[in-house]
Amino acid sequence: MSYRKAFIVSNALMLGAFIWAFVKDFRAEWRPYQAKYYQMAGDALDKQAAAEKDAKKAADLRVEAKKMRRSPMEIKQIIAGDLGRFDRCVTCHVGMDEYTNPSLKNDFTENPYKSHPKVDSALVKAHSFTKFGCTSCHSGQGLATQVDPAHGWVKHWEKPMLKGVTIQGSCVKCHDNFETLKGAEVAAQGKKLFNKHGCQGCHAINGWGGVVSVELGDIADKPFERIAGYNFKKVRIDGKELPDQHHNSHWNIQNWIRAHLVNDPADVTPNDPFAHYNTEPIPPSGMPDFTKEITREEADAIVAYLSGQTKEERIPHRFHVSAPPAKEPALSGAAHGKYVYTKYGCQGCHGIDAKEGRRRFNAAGDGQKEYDEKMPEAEQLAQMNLGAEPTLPKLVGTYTHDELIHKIEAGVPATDAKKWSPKGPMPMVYMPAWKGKISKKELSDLATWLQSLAVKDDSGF
Amino acid sequence: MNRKLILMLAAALFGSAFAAPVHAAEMSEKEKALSNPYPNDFGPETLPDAVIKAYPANVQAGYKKLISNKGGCAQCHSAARPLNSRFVEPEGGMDEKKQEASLAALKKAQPELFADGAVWQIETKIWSRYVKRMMNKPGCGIAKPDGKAIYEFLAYDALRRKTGANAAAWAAHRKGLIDQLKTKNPKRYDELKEAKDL
Repeated sequence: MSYRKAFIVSNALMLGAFIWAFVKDFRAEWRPYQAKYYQMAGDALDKQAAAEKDAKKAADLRVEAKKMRRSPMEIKQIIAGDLGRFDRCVTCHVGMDEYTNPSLKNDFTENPYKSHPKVDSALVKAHSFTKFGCTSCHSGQGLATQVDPAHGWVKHWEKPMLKGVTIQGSCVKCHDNFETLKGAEVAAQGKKLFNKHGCQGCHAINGWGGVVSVELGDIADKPFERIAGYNFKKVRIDGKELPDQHHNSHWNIQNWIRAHLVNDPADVTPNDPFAHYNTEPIPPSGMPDFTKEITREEADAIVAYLSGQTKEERIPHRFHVSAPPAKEPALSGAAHGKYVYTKYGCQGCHGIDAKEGRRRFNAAGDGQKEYDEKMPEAEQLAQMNLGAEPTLPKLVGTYTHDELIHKIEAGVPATDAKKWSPKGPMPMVYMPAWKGKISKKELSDLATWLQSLAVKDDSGF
Repeated sequence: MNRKLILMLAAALFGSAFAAPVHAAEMSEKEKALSNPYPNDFGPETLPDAVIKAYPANVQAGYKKLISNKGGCAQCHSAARPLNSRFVEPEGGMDEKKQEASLAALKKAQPELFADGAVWQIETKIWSRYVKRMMNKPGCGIAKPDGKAIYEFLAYDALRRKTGANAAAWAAHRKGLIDQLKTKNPKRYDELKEAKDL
């Protein structure tokens, strides 16, 4: 090909590329939304003008309406530099753009045209859009200008828009000791439930809590590469499998946390207890089954609380607002002991009010058949599931007050457990040593309360 | 050469790859108990026949249950652990008040028994508590009548072998066991000493 011909062809290609880019931009997904908003806002102004009795004001409104309809089609964005947010959500949600709609109010009822709810509330006023952007609270992909990517409903966007009450997790990111914070009631309930059911006995948050399982201070940042699709497919929310057509829109961290509360975690993460795929047997998730204790709404509240546990977001200190921590109740003796039991999350393993030890997979325990390696695997699994943590009222009467304190201080290593199936996995959950973590006074009162629960001794000696 | 050698090497290499997965060696309950020894574990696992034959029949039955590997204490730990223990329960049977009275009498009659807690730990209901605690261990499986028999043996035997005229011999035996732990497992000795559990 001659140089001349090559020149002509390359020019034609470049022209084609320009035309393609122009057409693509002209047909961008956000344009019809913005155009419709301008039209609707213009119509609303005209309506106001028609109702206006003052002729001058009516004329001004009509001019404004005309201007509104002729507003330039543009990418709009909020630059909340302090929080590293560049949010283009207002490109479609024009009613929330304070340059186009300075009052931040309108009468539209549908998204993306309607204004932000409760703009006059103290909550919204304290979080100006220009300072916080949109995604600081709502999550999603602020730079995107198409519906699915902007809401984070695409593969590999790990923080899709928070839905429903889970948005209160965003309050937790900046507000410490938020238990009485207005607007964060659901997250506060989630924190209360987290502690009520003893999650803190195994999971620490920002260093406070047990060491038996993972620290949850950054659970909202858990990368999906660490959650297998295989496990997500085992999740049932409201009895239904999660659709994966939008991948992360349903396979998200909120549903992963929720899955552990509304499913038996051992079903979601069954692992390999018979060593079919590994050289050693791996027990299912050691987390107890909370399905009979925690309702769907309560699970959502816990999800809201944990959704705010992030370390990935660099939030400057000046954005943090801390209320004073709640005061410890003025209790003593057994009543204080009961409070201590809950405070440190003992119920995570030993049950609420120490009524019944929770599951400890493959630990030898009451009610199990004798191990027989010829037993079908399903039956072995059922027997291994019967393994349990100690039910304390049966046990505490065999200790003196001091012996019980010593036992709690020393803890019980996982290796102390007797396995039901010798070939099965080592029971995972163990009791950490509490020495130095629970004060002497607390320990003493805890032992007093526990011993008050001791079952009547009918052994005859 | 070396064909044979090469074949052997290949067999060693590929043989291990195709071998069935081998689970890591599991410790039995007894091995687990012995991995954290007490001075007691260095003592004898049985009592001399002459001693046992002098005990009442119900006490002998408790002893047999205790040393049994099948359904007795020795299924989970060496029988040496209770037999060489420092625990002594005062006389008085099931009646704690009688035990308290016996304890007070013992303090007067043999104050030396209360001088070294590593040799004698004399408390009311101590064997009762421990036997019940062990019975509550998951998978223990000792039935209540057997537990009672074991308790009766331990309470009776401890008083006979560790106090009264046998106190000096017991002290020498017990101190010897502590010395053995100190020599053979100094780390564990220090650990127990710090926990006041020697």
